[in-house]
Amino acid sequence: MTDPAPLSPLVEIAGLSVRFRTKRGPGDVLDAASLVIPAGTSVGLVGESGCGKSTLMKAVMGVLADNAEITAGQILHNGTDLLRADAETLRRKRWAEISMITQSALNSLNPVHTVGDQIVEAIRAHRPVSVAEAREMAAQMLALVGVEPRRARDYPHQFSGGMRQRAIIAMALVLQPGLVLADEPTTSLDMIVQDQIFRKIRSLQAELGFSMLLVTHDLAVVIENCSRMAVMYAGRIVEEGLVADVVNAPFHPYTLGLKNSLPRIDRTSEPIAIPGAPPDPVDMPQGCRFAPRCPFALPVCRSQPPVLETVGEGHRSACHRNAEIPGLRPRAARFATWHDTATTDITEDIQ
Amino acid sequence: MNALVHFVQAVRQSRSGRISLNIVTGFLVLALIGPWIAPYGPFERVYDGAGDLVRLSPPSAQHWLGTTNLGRDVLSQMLWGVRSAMIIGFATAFGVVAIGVNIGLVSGYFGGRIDALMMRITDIFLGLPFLPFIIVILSITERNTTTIIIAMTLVMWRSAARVIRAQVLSLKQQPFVAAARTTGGSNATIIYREIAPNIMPIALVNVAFSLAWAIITEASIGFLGYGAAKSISWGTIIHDAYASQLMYQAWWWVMPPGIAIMVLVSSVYFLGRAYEHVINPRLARQ
Amino acid sequence: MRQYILRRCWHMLITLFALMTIMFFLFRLLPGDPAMTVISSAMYPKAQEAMRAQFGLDKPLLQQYLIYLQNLITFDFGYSFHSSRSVSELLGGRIVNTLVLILPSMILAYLLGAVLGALMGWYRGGRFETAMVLVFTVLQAAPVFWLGMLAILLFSINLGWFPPGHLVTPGMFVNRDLWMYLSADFLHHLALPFIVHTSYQIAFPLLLMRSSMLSTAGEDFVEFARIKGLPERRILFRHAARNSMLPVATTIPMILGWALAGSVVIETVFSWPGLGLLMIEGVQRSDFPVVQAAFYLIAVLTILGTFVADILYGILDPRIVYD
Repeated sequence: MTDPAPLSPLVEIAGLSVRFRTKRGPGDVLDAASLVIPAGTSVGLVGESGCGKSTLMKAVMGVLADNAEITAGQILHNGTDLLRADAETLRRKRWAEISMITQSALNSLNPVHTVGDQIVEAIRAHRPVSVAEAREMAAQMLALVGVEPRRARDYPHQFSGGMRQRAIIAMALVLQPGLVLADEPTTSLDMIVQDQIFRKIRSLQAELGFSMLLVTHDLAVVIENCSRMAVMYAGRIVEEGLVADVVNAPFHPYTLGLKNSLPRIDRTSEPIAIPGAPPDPVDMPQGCRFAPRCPFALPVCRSQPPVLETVGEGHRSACHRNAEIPGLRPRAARFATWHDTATTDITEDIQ
Repeated sequence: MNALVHFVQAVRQSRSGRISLNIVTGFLVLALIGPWIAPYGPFERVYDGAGDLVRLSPPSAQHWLGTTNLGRDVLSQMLWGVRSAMIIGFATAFGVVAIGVNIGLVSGYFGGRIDALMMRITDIFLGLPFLPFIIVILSITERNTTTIIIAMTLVMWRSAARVIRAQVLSLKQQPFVAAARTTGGSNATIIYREIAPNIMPIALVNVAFSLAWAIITEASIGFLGYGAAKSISWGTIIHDAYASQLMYQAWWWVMPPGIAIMVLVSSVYFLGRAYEHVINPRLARQ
Repeated sequence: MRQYILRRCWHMLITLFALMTIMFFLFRLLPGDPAMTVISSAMYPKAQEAMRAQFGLDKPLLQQYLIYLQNLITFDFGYSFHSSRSVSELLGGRIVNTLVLILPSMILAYLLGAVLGALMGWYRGGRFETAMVLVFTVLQAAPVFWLGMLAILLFSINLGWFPPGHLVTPGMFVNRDLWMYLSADFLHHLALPFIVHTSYQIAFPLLLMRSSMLSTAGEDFVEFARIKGLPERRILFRHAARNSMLPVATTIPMILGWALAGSVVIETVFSWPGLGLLMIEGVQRSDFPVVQAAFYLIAVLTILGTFVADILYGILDPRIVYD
């Protein structure tokens, strides 16, 4: 999966901010998030649960919850701003041009309709075809993802977990959309089935040529499936670039931490978890949102939010200490850096 | 007692809960003091200055809600009636839930044959046509407050038992029950010390809905002419108006009991629903 | 499935048997001479004789019980104390009258209640919706006989739109046959009790459907239907409302049972000659065979209704397994 350098963007998310009204006050869930999905590529979006990645995806789909409010930004799809399009235009674009593979197929499929009917209704909402033609399309697509077409008459509860996920993939691809959003598409499945599903997605992508935005908390999944990636923390994009660049030479301390949490086969050391918890959206830190958990944080980090700066070709990171990071990387790989009370010493050390 | 305090705190969280709580409390107070503040006795015939019976008088300064064809003061009958509505309503509701809780607990906790047997019995009672059954019972026994309460409880405990049993079945899977078992708690201890407190909320919701239903049923029994023989109830007031064939002329006679039932019962419904929303947040979603 | 139905039939028989046993002993455990409770001297002599023979009142209790069961099974209810007509004869038309009022009214109440409740739950939070919840809760809290009296007062006495009661205009029909039930006069009489019963019964499914919609609207598959770009109406009806129907549908057996049993009240207000009214009249006149037969039939209808509604529920929810 190579990345032909300059590609026209299929989707361009610019400065997207979303706020949630909660009982405890407004929650700042997305803050000026920008992301480009070039045509024909797979982009990975990585972050902990609750970091805003699902909100971003729902914003693209136009299905944000009632208490969510988009305060700034735009989402351009083939030149149309999805945030300013009327409801009917959006409805037509959904699924036909942008479809989605959801996290839990069990919950996404309606238990009282057959799997086939649910694919057929998606087709007929967007294409002027007869029920028989739609059934035929559904059958072909089910066969393509590896589900026996006659199972279309079964109800979701009669499917295994893996089959349900395949059915969702069939549904997502049946109208041949240009972009597929995949939200943790395999979290509910065991490792072997996960692997089968991703293999299937990759081969279908090669065959059908759609772009994909893959949202996950699992860096390994992104490494395996995507060419570009963005890292999100507490509602902000903190680093982005080619997967190879970001993974081999991460700049943001959060990315460094994420990389530490990967199981390392080549080294003997154990994975290192990032200590602490992500901030409360109702009460976000002043400066860099990662500062409270960051072993390299300086006073400036707590007062000034960093901006995304170019750190390599097509590689950007939002850290006040971008310039020093290459020197800090060995330290970041050490357990003590993250889990010792000595954190403050390191900061003083450098000062 | 704790459960009751929690109930009051919970329903006070919503506006409809607060209003309903005030209304129901108001009726409770009337049930206590009603007979004292009532200007006349429930069956007292009122005569005017000239010694004539005050028949079918429309509302006036003397008789705020008018009088019946037998010269009885409707307001006084209404005030006396609050007590029987409340006594029969609450006694039935608590009886229903007490039986329902015990059967539900035992049936759900032990499972197996005991459960199967108890559920078959519940099914038999579910097949009982409730109002005809009550009337048949009341037609062959003495008709007083106690027999009415017993007859109503007999046909109403069945749904409470089912709801509680379902709740017990899911509670049984919880770790704290297993923990109590391994530490050697007897069945009775586990049922009444560990599980029972956890079904109190759902039991209270059932008390509310049973109360509402009991008040309506009591009125229906009274309307059909099977109310307690020597006391007045809202249902019997409507029955008297209906039986005298005067209900379409003397609106002041028929409207007050109907409105009182409507206001009280809908307040009880709102109370139950307000509490349900607090204990089951899934319902409260906006 | 067939096994399930067979087992349910078996359970229905047991339930019915248990109910009838309870009734038998209820009547006979009373103080006093059972023969005197059952047979009053006011009866026609012919009926008195027939009663003694039929119920075997001079025989031991157990034998009486067996005769009683046999009579019920063969739908032989004996003779009324008050007229020399057989109870079966009296009951015939009464069943139809009760069903023709209660069943269509329940069906309409559930259909209309489900649709209105679905719309209220979907477009929730408005002032209009809050007002509707209040109105229907109050409606549900009102005693149905009192609503009936208000309706008669308003629509029959003041406005003169509908007759205040009875099945048909007295003396208009000689034969109570199908034509009577299709006549304009009958429908005119049916209208008011039908409207009152429906508007009373609608509150329960409507309020339940509304709260069911509130939780279904948050389900993933509803959001997914929106992501699929389905038109709003299809999401509302095919997904949200279709699934919210399930908890509402589970209540049909119970409410149908209540409505059949509660027909006593509405039939009394509207002088509607159904089973309920027959039973009340029987109780008032101590017409024991009539009471017992009416009670028996109401019980049979209730149990059958529950059974049919349970089977229908299985069609609504494919996840139900009949084991």
